[in-house]
Amino acid sequence: MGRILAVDDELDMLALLKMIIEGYSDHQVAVTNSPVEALELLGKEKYDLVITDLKMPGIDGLELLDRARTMDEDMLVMVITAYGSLESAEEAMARGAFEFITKPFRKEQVLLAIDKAMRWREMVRQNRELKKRLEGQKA
Amino acid sequence: MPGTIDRLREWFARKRRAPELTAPAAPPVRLLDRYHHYKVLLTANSAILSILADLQTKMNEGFLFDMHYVRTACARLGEEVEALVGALVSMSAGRYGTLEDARREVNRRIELELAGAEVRPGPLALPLKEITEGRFFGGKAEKLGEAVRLGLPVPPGFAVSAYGQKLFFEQAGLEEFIQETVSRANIRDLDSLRRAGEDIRAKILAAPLPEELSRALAEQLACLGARRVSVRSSALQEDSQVSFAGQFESVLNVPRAEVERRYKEVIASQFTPRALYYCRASGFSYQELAMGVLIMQMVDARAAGVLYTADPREGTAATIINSVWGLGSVAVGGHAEPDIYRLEEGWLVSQRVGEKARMHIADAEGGVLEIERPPEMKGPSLKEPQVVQLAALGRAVEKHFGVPQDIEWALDAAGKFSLLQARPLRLMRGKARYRPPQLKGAQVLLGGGVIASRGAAAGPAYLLESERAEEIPPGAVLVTRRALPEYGLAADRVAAVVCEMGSATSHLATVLREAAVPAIFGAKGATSLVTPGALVTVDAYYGNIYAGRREELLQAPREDAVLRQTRAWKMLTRVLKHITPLHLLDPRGENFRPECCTTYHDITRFAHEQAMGELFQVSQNLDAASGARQLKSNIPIAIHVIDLGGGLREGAASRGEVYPEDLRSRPMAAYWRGVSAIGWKGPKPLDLAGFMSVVMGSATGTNVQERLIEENYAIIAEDYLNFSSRLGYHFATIDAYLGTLEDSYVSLTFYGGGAELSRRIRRVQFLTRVLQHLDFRVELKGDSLSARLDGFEPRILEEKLEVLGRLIMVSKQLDVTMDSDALVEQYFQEFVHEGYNLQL
Repeated sequence: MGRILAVDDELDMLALLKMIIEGYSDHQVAVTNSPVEALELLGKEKYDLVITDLKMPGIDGLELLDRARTMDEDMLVMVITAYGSLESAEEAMARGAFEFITKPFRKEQVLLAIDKAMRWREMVRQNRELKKRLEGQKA
Repeated sequence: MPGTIDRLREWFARKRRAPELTAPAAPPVRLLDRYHHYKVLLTANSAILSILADLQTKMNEGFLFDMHYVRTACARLGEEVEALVGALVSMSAGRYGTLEDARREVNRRIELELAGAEVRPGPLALPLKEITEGRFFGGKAEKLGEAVRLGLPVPPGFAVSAYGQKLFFEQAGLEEFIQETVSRANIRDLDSLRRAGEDIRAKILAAPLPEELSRALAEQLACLGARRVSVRSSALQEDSQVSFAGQFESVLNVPRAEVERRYKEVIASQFTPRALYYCRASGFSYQELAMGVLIMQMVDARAAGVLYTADPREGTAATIINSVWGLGSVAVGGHAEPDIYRLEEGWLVSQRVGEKARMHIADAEGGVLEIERPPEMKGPSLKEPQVVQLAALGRAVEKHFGVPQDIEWALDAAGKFSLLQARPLRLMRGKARYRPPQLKGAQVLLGGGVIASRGAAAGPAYLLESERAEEIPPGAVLVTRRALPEYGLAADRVAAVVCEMGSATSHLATVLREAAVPAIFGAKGATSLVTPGALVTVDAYYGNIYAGRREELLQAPREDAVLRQTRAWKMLTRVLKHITPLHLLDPRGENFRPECCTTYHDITRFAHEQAMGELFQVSQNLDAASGARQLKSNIPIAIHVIDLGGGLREGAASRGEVYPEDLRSRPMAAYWRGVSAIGWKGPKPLDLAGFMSVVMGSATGTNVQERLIEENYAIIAEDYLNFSSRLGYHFATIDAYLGTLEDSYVSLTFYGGGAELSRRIRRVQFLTRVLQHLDFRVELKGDSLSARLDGFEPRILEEKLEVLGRLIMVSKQLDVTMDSDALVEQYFQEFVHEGYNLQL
């Protein structure tokens, strides 16, 4: 079971994401419509994945992506973009986003992407542990 | 437009009478100009149709979308429709100006939906009989107003408009306070929402009513003259788009002196945690919550309850009546198990007498008193003739409003029925007919409950003793004694609900159905039979509760009811009513007029249909050199060719008739190669069923023969083809442009046919298989198909056009033979493997 933070200024989309993800997977979703609050939450609590809209007032998704990854370089960030703004999605990928999804999307798309992210995270964790163990053996 | 087609026919008839046509000159500038507008129109037309398809796909195929998507799509659509109508108006030298009026009207209605209903100034209070729709008195008051005018038995009363509330909030400075408090609340925290609600309610109750509102209330009360009244919410959105069933207060048996205070209480009742959550999560504005308030003479009810004019679980024809002793509030709140009567075709077919241990009565001091049922009130609360009489009243209401109704009623001491509320019955959506297998040998913990909301779900049982819904953990099966409306707050997170009391007509059931949470009510002994924490499966198809997780029951296709709860989904449903329905089905129909276009789809269909005729009409006013020529070939149908440049061999310019070998239009020549390779085989021999199918399918009364001889138009240029053909009862338009790799395309729209719908659908399924094999992108809707192919070299598109010509010819009247699904695949295999032909 993973912990996800969803950030979007559209409350409708937030409520929907929460309902879909919690309804169809074991993951827990915290939501906020404020990127500032999102950063506060990231500072306070541990999340496995951040799902964020790109276009938001104040701090936009790209900035949130940068700052989240500065706080935790392993942080996986999935960006959601509105129809017709693929350039910004590409930009987000270039800046280290794990995945992007274009609105509107099917619930399966987001669930699959989350699944992929969680498996990736687990792999990274195991990898690091193995490395540590190897280094321990070498030492 | 029949007139246009008749004129065209006359014009062509004249041409036929004069075979020695003089050589048509090059199309005049005006025609070319029109061709340009026509191209603009075609582009808009195809953009509109793809936006429509996109909207419906997003809506029906489980997509997540937000208001931004709905707004953007509507805006894009609006622009394309404007371009389309503009192009038609330009093509027709200003005729069809009325289509522009229709477009503006549809646009206005969509904008209105998107903006939400803004409460405008109007009367503060009106007697029920004067209340009509659109005056901001709320759904409940409007419905009752209509019922009064129909002469149905409604207690005398009046209503205060939502504008009254707006005025109250403005003058008392409540608006800013509410907005601030709501936006400060944390939607993830129920306590925070609860506190926000309490702050708002306290502020409302403490504020004085505006003087004019207070005066209006006093005047109406004086006119009414009743000693005691009921004060109920009549929200603008309550009954139509958003169900907050049971969330808004109704105050019964109110003395006149208390009406102002109770009015404020009802107004304040909308700020519940659930409503606040909904407003924030779904993006509803406070304005959309503004409510009217209904004030009616109190009925001192001997019995009361709820009546459904159809079965809400199945939508089947039946009348279901729930009835309790005394005031209905005891049943609505789930405090008593009501009597349930079921009538079919006016006859009482079943009756289940509830316990009704407690009842609500009007207190002499005002308000409602809950008492033990007196011993003399035994047995059913209604006698059979009363049940039948009440059901007839229900039917009368349904007949008038045209859809199944959810009615609150009361029976007074004199034996007279009153209608307290009527609203459209919420039916379960979607897979209502689905039933899982019945389990054998499984341990049934409890059976025989009433299905309040269909479905099946499993989870750990959670026994709730208190009324605190926030204690219910996510994913639990809530097991409780009473069906309290407050439990609706947990609807978003419980797996299922089991109540010992309550009925399918309670508020909680309504909320659970809306949220698609399976629920069984009237499950006697549930709280003692189910062990807290034990895993159980609630089977709200058959009304059983099983120990453990029963996978077989949980296989049901899970409908994305959550998607349907969102504001965006509801908004899309509402705007689509002004967009997708198509009323202009038959160009010969009486309604094929701009004035009858009430949706964007109508406008698009009309404009597209007229546009082609317009290109021809311009030639009526020209001399013989209009550019239209008849194509003579081995195909016995009339094809008129207009060459807009380079479409015909140079020598052909001197003749009024042309031959296939004269075709220089690359797309037309390619398409024609396919058409002539198959040739005209005449109508298919019909089997009896196929014949009947045509008879049934053509019940519109249009003559088959007449349809067969309709004109076919080919507008061609060296690189362009727009060929609109009506072969054997279907309509096909091939639009192709062969320019560069980037802008070349072939598109096809195909619809109609002579046979019944299922056969026509099989035919378009066959077409779809072939077209997809040919790399077309195909969109299917009912018996109509649109397909497009691009991104290929023009040379390849030419080859595909030739196959398309073959395909359209073999499909002529193919629908009548398609009496089984298997033929779709069989024909497909034969067509693609036997040299693009069918040996039928």
